[in-house]
Amino acid sequence: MGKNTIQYYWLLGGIFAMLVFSACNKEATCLQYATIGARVDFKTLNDSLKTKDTVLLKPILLFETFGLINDNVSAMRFTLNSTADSMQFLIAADSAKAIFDTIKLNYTRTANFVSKECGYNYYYTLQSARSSHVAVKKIEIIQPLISDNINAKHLQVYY
Amino acid sequence: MQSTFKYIINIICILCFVNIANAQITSTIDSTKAPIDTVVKNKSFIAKVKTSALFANSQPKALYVGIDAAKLVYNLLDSNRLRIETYAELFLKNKNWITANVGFANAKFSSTALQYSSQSSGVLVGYAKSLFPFISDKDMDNAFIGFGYGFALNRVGEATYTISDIWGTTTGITPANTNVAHFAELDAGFRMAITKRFMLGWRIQGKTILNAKVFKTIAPIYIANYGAGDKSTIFGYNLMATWRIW
Repeated sequence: MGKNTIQYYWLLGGIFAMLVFSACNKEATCLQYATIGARVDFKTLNDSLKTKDTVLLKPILLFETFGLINDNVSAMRFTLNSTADSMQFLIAADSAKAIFDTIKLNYTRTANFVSKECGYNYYYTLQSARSSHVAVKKIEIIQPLISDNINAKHLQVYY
Repeated sequence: MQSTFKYIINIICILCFVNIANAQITSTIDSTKAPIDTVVKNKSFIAKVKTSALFANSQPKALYVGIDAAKLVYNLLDSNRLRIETYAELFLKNKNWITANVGFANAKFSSTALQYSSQSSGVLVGYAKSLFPFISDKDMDNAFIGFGYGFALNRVGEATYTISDIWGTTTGITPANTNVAHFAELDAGFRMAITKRFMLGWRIQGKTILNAKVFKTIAPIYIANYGAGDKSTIFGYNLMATWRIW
């Protein structure tokens, strides 16, 4: 093999590959981080104790410093307090009528590794769920583990 | 962006090897001093010339040791990672050689969400084969392909994480852990004798971790002889500077 030919390809391939690989070794940024949320479904409990999915006109969840409100939904999603092992909030089936119940949740937090770039988030395991009974008839834990499974239903509130 | 670069690299290398192959045939024909028209018209003659005793398997037995010069450059560019890879290559007859790499890596990572460090040391053994005949005992220039298996012992230090969301900020520490990574690689490259005893070569590698389940949780930042620990399949690059000691 001619020395000149070898040198040409050696330099061409080697230098190009080194430049490309050094460029590709940049640190990635966090693109996949997602806050873990609990889903609460609304149900109606009739006199014969049968249940059915219920669309609420304008349900509202009121937390310490912020609130969530929505229109014509049968479920809502909220983030648990990541700084404590319990939380409480107010819930009303219709924000216009403002008939509130208080819901208190106890849970444990488990640090879950997401990626090097995103770090960790918390998975939660519900230990208990209690509610006042102004309008709410019952609250029930369906799936205690709150993770990145967005299809999971965690709580059911019965009116 | 990264995958685009990888495709470009692959294409460039394939083109290089194809053209080197053409150059090799031309070189072989020239050295026989055969008339060009005879060679072109008679394909069997070309085959005969390529496998003639003049060029076949004349690579000498030799032992080379060396270091990955690219990693030394990368160390200067990235103060968070110290990577060292050393080589021992035993050239056999019939255009083959076996390799043993010993590597070390210290790395630290720091972002607003996570800070931790890791150490890794490992061994990679492999086999490589030259793609073209050697012209003489002194000819060590060639393109090659190879494969290898490696393992590395990794220690991931305590990780401090910070979780920030609408509720506020919490921090925590995960305990240190030790694990072993097993990985396989395919590689291809080119090497050239600079002096009688000194060779330079480069190679690109495709590597995959064989026990990726171990790294579902926090992974070592850098695995010796492999690369980024949080990627189960990666491409790598070596610039090999080797000296003949036997």
